[in-house]
Amino acid sequence: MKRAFVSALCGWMKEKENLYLFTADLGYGVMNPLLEEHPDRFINAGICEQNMTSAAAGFAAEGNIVFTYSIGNFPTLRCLEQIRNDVAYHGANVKIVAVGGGFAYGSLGMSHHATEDLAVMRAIPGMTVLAPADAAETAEAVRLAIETEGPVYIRLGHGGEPKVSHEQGDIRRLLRLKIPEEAPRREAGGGLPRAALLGTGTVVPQVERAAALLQGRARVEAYSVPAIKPIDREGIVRLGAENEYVVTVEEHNILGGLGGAVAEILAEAGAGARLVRLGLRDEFTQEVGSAEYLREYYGLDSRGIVRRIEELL
Amino acid sequence: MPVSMTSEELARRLRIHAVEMAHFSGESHVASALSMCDIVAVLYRHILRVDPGDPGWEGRDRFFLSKGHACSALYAVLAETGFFDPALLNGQCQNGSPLSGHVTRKGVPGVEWSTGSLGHGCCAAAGAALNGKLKKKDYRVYCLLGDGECDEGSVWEMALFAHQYGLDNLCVIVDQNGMQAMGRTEKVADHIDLAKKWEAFGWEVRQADGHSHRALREALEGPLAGAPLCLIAHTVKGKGVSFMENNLLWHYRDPQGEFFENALRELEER
Ligand SMILES: Cc1ncc(C[n+]2csc(CCOP(=O)(O)OP(=O)(O)O)c2C)c(N)n1
Repeated sequence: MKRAFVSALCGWMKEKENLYLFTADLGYGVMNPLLEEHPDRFINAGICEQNMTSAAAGFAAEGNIVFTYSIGNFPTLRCLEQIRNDVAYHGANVKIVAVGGGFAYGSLGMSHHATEDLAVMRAIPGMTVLAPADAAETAEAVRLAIETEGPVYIRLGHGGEPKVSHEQGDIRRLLRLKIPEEAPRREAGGGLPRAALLGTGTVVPQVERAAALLQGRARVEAYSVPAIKPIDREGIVRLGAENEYVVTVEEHNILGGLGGAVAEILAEAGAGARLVRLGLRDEFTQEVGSAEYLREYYGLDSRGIVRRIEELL
Repeated sequence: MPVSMTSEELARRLRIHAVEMAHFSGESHVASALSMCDIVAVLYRHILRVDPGDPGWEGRDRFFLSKGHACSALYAVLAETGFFDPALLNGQCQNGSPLSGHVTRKGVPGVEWSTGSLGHGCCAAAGAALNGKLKKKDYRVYCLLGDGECDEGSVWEMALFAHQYGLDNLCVIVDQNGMQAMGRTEKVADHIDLAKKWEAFGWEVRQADGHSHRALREALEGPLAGAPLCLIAHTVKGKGVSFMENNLLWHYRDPQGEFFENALRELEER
């Protein structure tokens, strides 16, 4: 995903002369295409996330578009007030990019697990929050970020994410995943409980697989939700009305991220579905291991998701 | 660790551990760890007053590893000096291991502070030193910083604070290997003269060859200076493995195949 990001950005730099990337001393290797094609659009601010962010805001205010780039929590939580006051309050055209959202840096430990970023960034007024699931969604997120006037946060995976199955579509909407096994027709499926699974970012392939595993036991639809804010309110209200269960899955605290956003909408709409939020239950990841290992440990792999839904049915 | 083991021999063993840990975990920062092996070997062999049998002993000297990405060297020195079983080392970063890729104190005896985001450990160290001052405790607080880490503003906020509160029980060691994540320090964010900067903040500054155990001991064993102490240790990133020395690739790459064998051979022959 980070390669898809850099390649999309390089493409846009050809079209937009006022487009820049600021990094806080990260991007070794990955940034090579950008350094070759547009060396003058690359600014390494040093290991100084706070100054990088405020300087990006000041630079953007002069008519530029700036992507700030780092990993994990460094481009967000490390410089949060700079984001709030300098970027967001000033409506600066700054796009914050974090590589390695969620469990991507699993074995590197607590400091590198970004599992509150969506909630924190969502709470900043005027901030658009995007968490693409694969390379195609990433390219669309970069487009949307550039086309959006003002602050945007993009949470990326690390690399090697599988492609997810929906047709290319507007990433501001819920994107319906094609579930491999043909879903039972309305007649055949009559009487089965209905559930909608929503996932965001790198956990989407797990949601996809869980939905496939559940076919026949429930009528399951699954969606990728790359846009956490603004989120597809209408789509969620509709799912809330049509289903008995809405299940959100995220490599994130269940407070304030995708699950939080969906909860707010369903509650306000008085929608009938029961909501189940899967994610970290207000805790730090205490475990060390790969992203797959952590997903399994916290019940966010396809089997964990299926297990949880079977308990409900 | 046998009492007779020299700090030099200890450092050599730490380097072997660091290379093996990166090999088995598939993670790296091995060059960052090799840079600091002599410093932690001298600290744990000669300087720090700690008790592996009672890691939380209140009177212990505190050691904060602020450049937490280089933790294999710290885990290794703790294991070698009896804080925990060295058999755990080669499982670092693997599923279910207590040892994460940035230093954690959860479940790891002897680790003072969990770090990984640069520019935090030193500030927590200043807090521990303040407690020592206010409560008239005789423990000392040591902290190891990267020179790239000195880009972070929080380091300099700490420098103001430590001077203001007269924290002469605090010693910051800067592992000055001249490199950070994207290049040489002077090419990324030039510190010009780090010693002068610390001096200007009111610190006593000493300098030493960060791979000479005698020089490190002399600098660290001197009396309290009446001011917080900054020891600038001149080091080589990747020290001890010829092809890793001053080569940024080994900030990121894990040694496999021939690289692994050659690295071990060099360290074993030393
Ligand atoms: C706040 C923060 N920003 C970025 C990083 C990513 N990072 C890890 S190591 C490193 C370079 C550190 O250089 P230095 O402090 O000189 O240590 P060395 O590895 O050279 O010993 C960077 C930028 C981080 N860990 N924390």
